[in-house]
Amino acid sequence: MKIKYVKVSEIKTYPQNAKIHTGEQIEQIKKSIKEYGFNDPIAIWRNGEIIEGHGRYIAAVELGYEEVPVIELTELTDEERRAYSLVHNQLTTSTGFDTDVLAEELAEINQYDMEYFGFQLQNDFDTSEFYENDDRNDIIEVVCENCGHKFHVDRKGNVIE
Amino acid sequence: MELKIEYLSKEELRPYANNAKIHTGEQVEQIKKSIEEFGFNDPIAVWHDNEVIEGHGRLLAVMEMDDIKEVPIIRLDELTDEQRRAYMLVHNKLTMNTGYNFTILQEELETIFSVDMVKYGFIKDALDDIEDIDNILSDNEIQKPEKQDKKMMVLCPCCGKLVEVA
Repeated sequence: MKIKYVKVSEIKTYPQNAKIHTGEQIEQIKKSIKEYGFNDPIAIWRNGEIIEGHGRYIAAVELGYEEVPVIELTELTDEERRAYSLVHNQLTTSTGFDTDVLAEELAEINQYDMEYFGFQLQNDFDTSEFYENDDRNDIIEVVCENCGHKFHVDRKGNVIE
Repeated sequence: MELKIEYLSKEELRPYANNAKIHTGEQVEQIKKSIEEFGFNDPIAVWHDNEVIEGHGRLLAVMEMDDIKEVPIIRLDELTDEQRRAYMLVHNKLTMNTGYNFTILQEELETIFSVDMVKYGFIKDALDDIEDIDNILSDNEIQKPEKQDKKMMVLCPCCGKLVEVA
């Protein structure tokens, strides 16, 4: 796998891209690029069509970028690149945030306007209703199914031996 | 900052301790399947000391795949601590902020035969089922955590295998 920098004119959107990119989301991507950099290369197929990264491509064009980093996935068949394009989006959206951990993280970010990206700084709902017992501070004992090792984790998944 | 791919042994990568993104056992299985079918196509972004910025799900997946020893990574060392923590959240959030055009999605799904898209959570004929559309549309709203989302996956500190926390 290699990253190449190519001219934006050399790549093109896939006409049947099923993912919606709203104007608001493009503005958010542009702000993310300005604040943190262009950190995620665009995956393209052998004909220069984008497999994943349509939103970043539109944002880069609007920001006046002449070149963008790309990864060429030339080995995929036509059907595979179309399937992977959907699967890539699906797998990133199929799970959400742990709202407790999210709230902790957001509370420590002061320099960046996280609401702009769609985060709500205060939880609108009480997550405790999703637990039968509010045991989130518990330490849980885990026994590894593979080697039988016994260890402990907290509710965030941090391993405590 | 020019992006570059480096290959690292998967054991050298360290998850971020306060990663807010949930990775269920089901999702990790889907990521494994995606890697098997399409390859490892999306490098993991890491910060200082090989701490993961984005790609926790992919890391959990490869830890369970014996034939994958090394993974492609991109170093984002120039970010400050606050930047990498903000970017981690923003990266995940921005992909969740928009959904699908269901007409195009349906057309695409109808022309994919060699890949079992249902395994990845796609519902074929979603347009015929109003309830499913409601479910999919509501994904664009704030996601309420479901109980089943709370099944955590952790790595055994002894053998490195992925273990589900009850």
